[in-house]
Amino acid sequence: MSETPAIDLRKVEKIYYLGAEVRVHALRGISLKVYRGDFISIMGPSGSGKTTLLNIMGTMDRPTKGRVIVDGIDVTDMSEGRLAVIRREKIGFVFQAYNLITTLSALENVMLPMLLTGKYTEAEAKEKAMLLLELVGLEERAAHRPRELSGGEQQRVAIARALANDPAFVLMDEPTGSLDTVTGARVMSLVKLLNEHFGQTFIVVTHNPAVAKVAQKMFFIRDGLLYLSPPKELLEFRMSANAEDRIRLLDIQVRLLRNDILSLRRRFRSGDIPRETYLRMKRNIIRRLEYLRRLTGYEGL
Amino acid sequence: MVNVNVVKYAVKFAWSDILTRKMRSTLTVLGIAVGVALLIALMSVSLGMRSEIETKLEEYLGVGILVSSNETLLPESISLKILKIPYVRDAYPLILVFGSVEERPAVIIGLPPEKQDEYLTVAEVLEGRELNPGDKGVLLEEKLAKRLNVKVGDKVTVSAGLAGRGKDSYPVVGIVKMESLIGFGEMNVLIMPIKLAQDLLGRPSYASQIQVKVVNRRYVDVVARTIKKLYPHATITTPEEIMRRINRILNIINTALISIASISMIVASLSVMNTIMMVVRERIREIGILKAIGATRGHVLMIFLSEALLLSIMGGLLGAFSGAVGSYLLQELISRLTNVRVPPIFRLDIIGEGMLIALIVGVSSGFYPSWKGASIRPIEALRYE
Repeated sequence: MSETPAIDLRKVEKIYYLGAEVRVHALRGISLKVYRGDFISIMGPSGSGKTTLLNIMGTMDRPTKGRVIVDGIDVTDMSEGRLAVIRREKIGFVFQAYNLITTLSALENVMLPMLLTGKYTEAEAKEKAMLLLELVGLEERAAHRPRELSGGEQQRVAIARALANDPAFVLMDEPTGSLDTVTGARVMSLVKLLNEHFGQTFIVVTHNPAVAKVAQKMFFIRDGLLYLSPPKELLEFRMSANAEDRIRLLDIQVRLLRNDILSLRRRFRSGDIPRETYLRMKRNIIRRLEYLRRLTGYEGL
Repeated sequence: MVNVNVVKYAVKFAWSDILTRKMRSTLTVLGIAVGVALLIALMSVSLGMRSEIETKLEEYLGVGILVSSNETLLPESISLKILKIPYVRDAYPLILVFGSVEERPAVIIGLPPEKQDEYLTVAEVLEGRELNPGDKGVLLEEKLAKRLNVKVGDKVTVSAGLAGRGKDSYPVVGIVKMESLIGFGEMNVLIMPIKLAQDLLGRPSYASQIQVKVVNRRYVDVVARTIKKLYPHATITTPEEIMRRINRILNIINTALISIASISMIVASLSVMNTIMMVVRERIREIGILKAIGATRGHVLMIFLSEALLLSIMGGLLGAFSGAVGSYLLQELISRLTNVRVPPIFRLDIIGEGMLIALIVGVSSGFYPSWKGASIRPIEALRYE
């Protein structure tokens, strides 16, 4: 295929050096091509590397190894100033919340990326921003400040702003993370609509399967690696505790029980608690002991 | 290339920030205003003081030269010889000594009665009359007369010279008002004919100084040199020389005043720095968003610097205004304390300087925190919540 991908990640690795000895391998070689018109989601739990991946795709962080190519331009080694231009002209951002500049109206928030390019007059920017707000159904809220908008409305303004400079792709970081389910669904259906009817490219990073499923294609990220299907074997591995852990837990339980028995006996003898209470608490302890016996099959307790 | 629209947004952004944090902005503006006001008030008053002293000195000496001697007295006849020097318009003997009137310390001025109007240029007779040639009476300065509760026709006892060598009583012929003569402002003054003063001191035909008037200011130096040649032991004082000495003192005072004002400007700059630091901290997430949507460091810097600039402009304007008001208050204070009225002089350049200093101080002290804020990497800024 000769088409240029909107974003092309080539064996991207990211290592964080936290100390002289400690390092975290956040991304372990990720290759991904997203073409214009695609709508993909990347799903993963926290600590899976999805935020790192998002930052690298958004040119806000640099990979330790590998190349990042945005709309055919290799941005891996670009200066901060030139990266700002790439972000301005090629990438749209929608974050989880507090996306907007609070001192500017919805309209001005949408105009801002256009004005930053210096390619629009104020009148042109205003006209286009108005159309984009209409697209997300907020033309009547144009003059409102973010504080006067609901969470869903704020996210729609953020989407309108992301589209302002006709980006190669729009990056969304947990776009419904701060919204209730119904509002979140409405925002995601707007995203789907924009993808289907305008061919706008979207990359959604989330831990929410319902959000991820809206995309045409889902990816899964675990421990810095990208998968096309949920990596179950990893999940199972996590569930099974090893033998050493079990023995340690049992040991602590036995010691706790011993503490309880001694303290109960002392309190009964000193007349601190009546006989009735003593017997009830004793039964409780015996029940816990029985449970441990059954668990371990050890009669010596 | 400066993007006009972005500048407009930066200013708008900064302005709405100032409005949302009214208390903090007001305090910062006041901080700058106090510094600027102090600077303008002190400079205006000191300028007024200088010009007032110059005028008073001019009135006192005119285009004159003062000849005096370290050995208290000069022969009176010197004035006649000085009169013959070219360009000299007038020369007359004076006696100026410390003494007492009715046991009160006073300055005793002995002068030829026909010169009293010229010497006491601004005197006004309140009661009685001026001195006549050959008079045996004295004039009392208004305040002294009030203190002694003396009227025209009463006799006063005057002693002069060291250890009360001369002592005599004289009838008061007139009470005069003297606009503050340099150096006499708060002092008791008694004026008598020079003959009487000479007799009182027991030194007939002697004077403590010779007042010399020159036809034109240009010749002051020439005449001063000629007198110096004739009387090498005499001390010759010209208005320029006095002014030079006074200027030296005024410069020291001025430097002290400006240092005080500078300290308050330093405080103002710390306040601006603190404010911008807080603004940056509050706006850190928005810095992240701005950078994510493609704002450069320069764009972000512009926003915070506009805020510093706006605060400084407001502080400067308020400071210029209150500096003008403050200098009148300062003048009032000075006149209450010293009885000298010094009208402050406002010059556009002083007000402009005050404003300029406010802007420079504001923007330069806002620069460091703004730069720090603008240099935050977008992912760090976005992580901050």
